[in-house]
Amino acid sequence: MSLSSAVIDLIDVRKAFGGVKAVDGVSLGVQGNEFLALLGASGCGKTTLLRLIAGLERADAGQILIAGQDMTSSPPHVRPVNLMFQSYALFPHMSVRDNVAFGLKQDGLHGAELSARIGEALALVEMEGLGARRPEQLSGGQQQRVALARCIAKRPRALLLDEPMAALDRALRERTRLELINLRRRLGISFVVVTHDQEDAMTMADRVAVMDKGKIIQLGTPRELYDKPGSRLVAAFFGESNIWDGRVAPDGRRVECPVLGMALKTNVALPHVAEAVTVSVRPERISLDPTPLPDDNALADATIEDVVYLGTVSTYLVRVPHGALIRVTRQNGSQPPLARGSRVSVTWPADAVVVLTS
Amino acid sequence: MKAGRIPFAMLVIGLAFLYVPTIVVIVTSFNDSRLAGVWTGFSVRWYGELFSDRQFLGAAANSLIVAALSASLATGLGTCAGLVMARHGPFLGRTTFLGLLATPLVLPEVITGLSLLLLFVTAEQLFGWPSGRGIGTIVVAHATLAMSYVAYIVQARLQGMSRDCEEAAADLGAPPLKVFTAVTLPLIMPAIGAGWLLAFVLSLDDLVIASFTSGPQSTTLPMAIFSSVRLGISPKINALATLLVASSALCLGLAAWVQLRRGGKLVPG
Amino acid sequence: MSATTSPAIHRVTTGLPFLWLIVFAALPLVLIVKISLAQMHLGVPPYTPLLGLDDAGENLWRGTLANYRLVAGDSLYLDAYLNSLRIAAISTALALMIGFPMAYAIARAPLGWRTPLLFLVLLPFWTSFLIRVYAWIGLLRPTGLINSTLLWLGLVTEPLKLLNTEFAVFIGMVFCYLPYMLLPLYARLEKLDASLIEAAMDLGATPTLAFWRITVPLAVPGVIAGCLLVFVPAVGEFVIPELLGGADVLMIGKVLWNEFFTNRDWPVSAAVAMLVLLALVVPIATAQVLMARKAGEAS
Repeated sequence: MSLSSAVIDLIDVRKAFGGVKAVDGVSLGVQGNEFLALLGASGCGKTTLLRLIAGLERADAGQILIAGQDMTSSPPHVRPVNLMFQSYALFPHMSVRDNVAFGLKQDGLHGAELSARIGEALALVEMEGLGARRPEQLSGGQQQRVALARCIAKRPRALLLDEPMAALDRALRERTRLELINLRRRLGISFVVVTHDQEDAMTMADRVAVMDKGKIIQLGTPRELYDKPGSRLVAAFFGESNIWDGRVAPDGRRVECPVLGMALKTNVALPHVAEAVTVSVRPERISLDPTPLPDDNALADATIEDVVYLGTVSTYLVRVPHGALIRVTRQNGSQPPLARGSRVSVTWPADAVVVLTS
Repeated sequence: MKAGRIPFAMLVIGLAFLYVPTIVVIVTSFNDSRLAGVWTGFSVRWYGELFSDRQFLGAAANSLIVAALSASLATGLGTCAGLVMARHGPFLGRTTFLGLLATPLVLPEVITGLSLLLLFVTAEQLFGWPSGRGIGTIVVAHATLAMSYVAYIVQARLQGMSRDCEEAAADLGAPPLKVFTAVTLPLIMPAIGAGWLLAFVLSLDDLVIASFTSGPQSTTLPMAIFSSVRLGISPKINALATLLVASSALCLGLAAWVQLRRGGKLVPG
Repeated sequence: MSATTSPAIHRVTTGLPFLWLIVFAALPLVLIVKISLAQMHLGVPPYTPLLGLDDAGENLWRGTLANYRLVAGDSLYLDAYLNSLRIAAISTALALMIGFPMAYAIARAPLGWRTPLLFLVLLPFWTSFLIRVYAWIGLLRPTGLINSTLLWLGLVTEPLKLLNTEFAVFIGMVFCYLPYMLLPLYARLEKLDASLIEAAMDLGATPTLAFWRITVPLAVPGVIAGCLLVFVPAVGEFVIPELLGGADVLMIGKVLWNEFFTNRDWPVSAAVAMLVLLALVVPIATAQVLMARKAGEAS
């Protein structure tokens, strides 16, 4: 990743709060025109990372470059990025218009130009008619739009969003996701969004950085993270997964899993023989078809212990003879449903097996 | 959940205990008789006598001047101290600072009064200032007492307020001083106002500290009331008491009305 | 340091009040210590300097512990001091006994009632302290409302001596300091989740048991704060014992006042002030330790 193409460049950034490492050596480049999600459980350091970029926290070590300039120790008011707070942080003593005008006035704008920029920003979030309102007179969704307008009015190089969906209900979340994607396309700037919701990250982001204990543990497109999770944590974060411990078999090409009582065929390169590894198989890659292809992994004499009906799909919990409980999802409608207690065979192709490194 | 009969009865009795004496004074102030025990007819003659008493009028004027000046001074100093407590990180002497801020709150008034008097006398000996005691020294003494109250009110407001708005202002390009004047100050204004009001009332109400730090020409209203009350019940004091109660009720009613109109709460918290 | 404030603002906002407090809060206390070691002297100022020049022109330490010896030796001061502690303690206990049920009733009142009720309780606090004490003189004196009523009802044949008694002082103290007791108690009780009590009763506790085992223990920080807010000013109180207690009720604040204004003995006043300071340091330090321990348990 070259420095010139990145809007934000973090080089080995560190920040600790009283001995607790919130951000522990993060290096990351945010490309111009990119929608990047920082994903992780609460306390993983994702919000601190965002605040470090905005300048609201000072990094203990490392470098923060914004638009190619070293801004590691610049105060927040000189940085060409803007942050939308989780609480929205609208100024309660100012009207919607004055909230949007605040940042522009700091840039020295006034008169017709100021009005034009305010109008433009409010139009982008479809809030033109509500400029005279006070924040407390707006709904949660409207407040978010004002907070958004206040940031984009400044035409920042990058927009930072801290948990933008946290305060919205389910229906509004889905609409907002689409609107944020559209807004980013129209503005042509980078968005960096912090979220704990993998669905937000998957649906909006071009790339996702998964964080844990202050470190980025995997960075990639949503598809890469889903199909090739590098670790147990990433596999667990993105949807459901069957995860088993095992060892590389003597032939060096399969993984022996005691709980399955078999050696799994896989397409990926494996470490040394007898080394401990963890494998993951997505539930929708497993079928309960009794006629396996020759290259498939197959286990016979399994019993359906439980069925959970989820509308378009059903999840089956299947007990295999060696003790493992396998999670399988199957489309409803196309196939006849299977009853609890049924005897089945479980099969999955070799390329469904993902080997996790940690 | 029911309140229970005993606490509710106590509440009623307690409220009666708080209000009956004042109500009796108000009623008596309209009694024509000099003897409080005997009702001889409705009259406002004691109000007339009160308003022709130069001593009381002068003392009231002194009190208002002292209260306004000391409340303003205390609000300035106390707001700074509140900011220090709530927003500034550790600094050298922070513990000392907090300890000193708490002293006017815990010291008995007689000690605060005596100690400040000794300071003024010593300063006059050493620097020739303040030359004699009067309005100025009472203002300084009252400001010292009230700034701690203001500081705690402002601190409580700042602590109950997230820093998001201030950080958002900085993020939107406002330098620190602008963040303070455009966002922090307007947001803590209600607390500053409440602090000023409390400081004003504290000053208006104080007898002990004023007695120590005043000079011969600067008798305040509580001092005038005290010297009169020492001699016993006086119809003029009844009238004055009624006026004081009425004016503080009026001020509070006004403040409550403004708060409610702005959709705020009556009691902070 | 926060990223949103500048060092310059920090220096001003810290420096101004700090300097003010050093000059007008710390220095005066140092002066009390100093003058308590001096001797009374007719003139301006009415006390002797601690350092003086002797005949040979040498600096001479002229400080004396005579004032402390006087204060410790004369039973007047010690009696007044112990009496102040006793009266303050009883007043605090009375305020707690009256204030707790009141605060409890307000905290458990319907939501819409709480603010008006609290307002009603705090309203007297905003009216003149002196006037509130004065109002009681009118009620308690021999020809006052209480005695007239009792005589009229035939319950007594001659007026009771109510004014200029300790009883009157207790009434005055509770009357004036009740809001200080109520406010922290209410703040604590109001936060107390009603579902805790419901849970206790669901688990088989009677309302009385739930009150003593759940409400009271959780209200302890409020009780400590309230007691402190009443006890501390009550110890040094001057106006109430002076106006309601008369000559018979001796309290240290009154003694100090008289030493200063009547006897004009500034050094002895300062020594008495030191004694009161000592009397206050102990309860405040104790309460602070208790609070810190509570806070430690909570976290």
